[in-house]
Amino acid sequence: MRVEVSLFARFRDHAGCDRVTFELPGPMTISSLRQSMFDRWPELEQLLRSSLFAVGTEYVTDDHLIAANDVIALIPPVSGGMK
Amino acid sequence: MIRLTHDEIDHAQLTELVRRPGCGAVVTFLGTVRDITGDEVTESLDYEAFVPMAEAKMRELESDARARWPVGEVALVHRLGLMKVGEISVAIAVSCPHRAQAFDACRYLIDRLKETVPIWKRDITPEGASQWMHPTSEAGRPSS
Repeated sequence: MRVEVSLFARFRDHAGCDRVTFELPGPMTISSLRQSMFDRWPELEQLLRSSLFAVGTEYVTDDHLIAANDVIALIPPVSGGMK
Repeated sequence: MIRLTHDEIDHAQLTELVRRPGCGAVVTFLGTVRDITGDEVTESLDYEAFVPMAEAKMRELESDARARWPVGEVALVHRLGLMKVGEISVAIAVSCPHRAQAFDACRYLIDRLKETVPIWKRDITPEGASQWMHPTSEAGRPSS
């Protein structure tokens, strides 16, 4: 299956575009999508590990099974800040 | 009320907006661009958001706060784009009948906003170097 992922902040700058496509055989979970990202961007592994994924406007967990019409976004750690 | 904007934040107007006759307490929090973090100098910050999700998460935060405290009105505003040292990046105004409720609700809103709302900042130094601030990232400076 083919999924398109929106990128933001450091991921977008690193990729040089705000959307990337991943193609994998068979059904895909967020976990397998994250693995394909490790393969494509090994240099960003640590940032990828601390990032979340969203479908539409909701965060999803790694076991989420990606549906054909899912609009996926990669959400790097947000600005946070010391209290 | 929640809003993302590229314009300057008028905090006095937001504070006024949440005042209610039944509320004896109004708390306003402002997040402003700080000049120094650790030993690194910041000239400006550039904020970006995943807008539809950020708006949805901010609406959820408003609902959560209203469910937990007797909020009269709340204004949750985040500015996007380039801001110089001293400028306001985020403002939260909350009114409640009593002060403890207003302080607690405001504290909850800013803490949760920083954890869950997809808004990122890029730190720009006086020399023009810039870096995305992603806490826990391998090359990140201490987050502000």
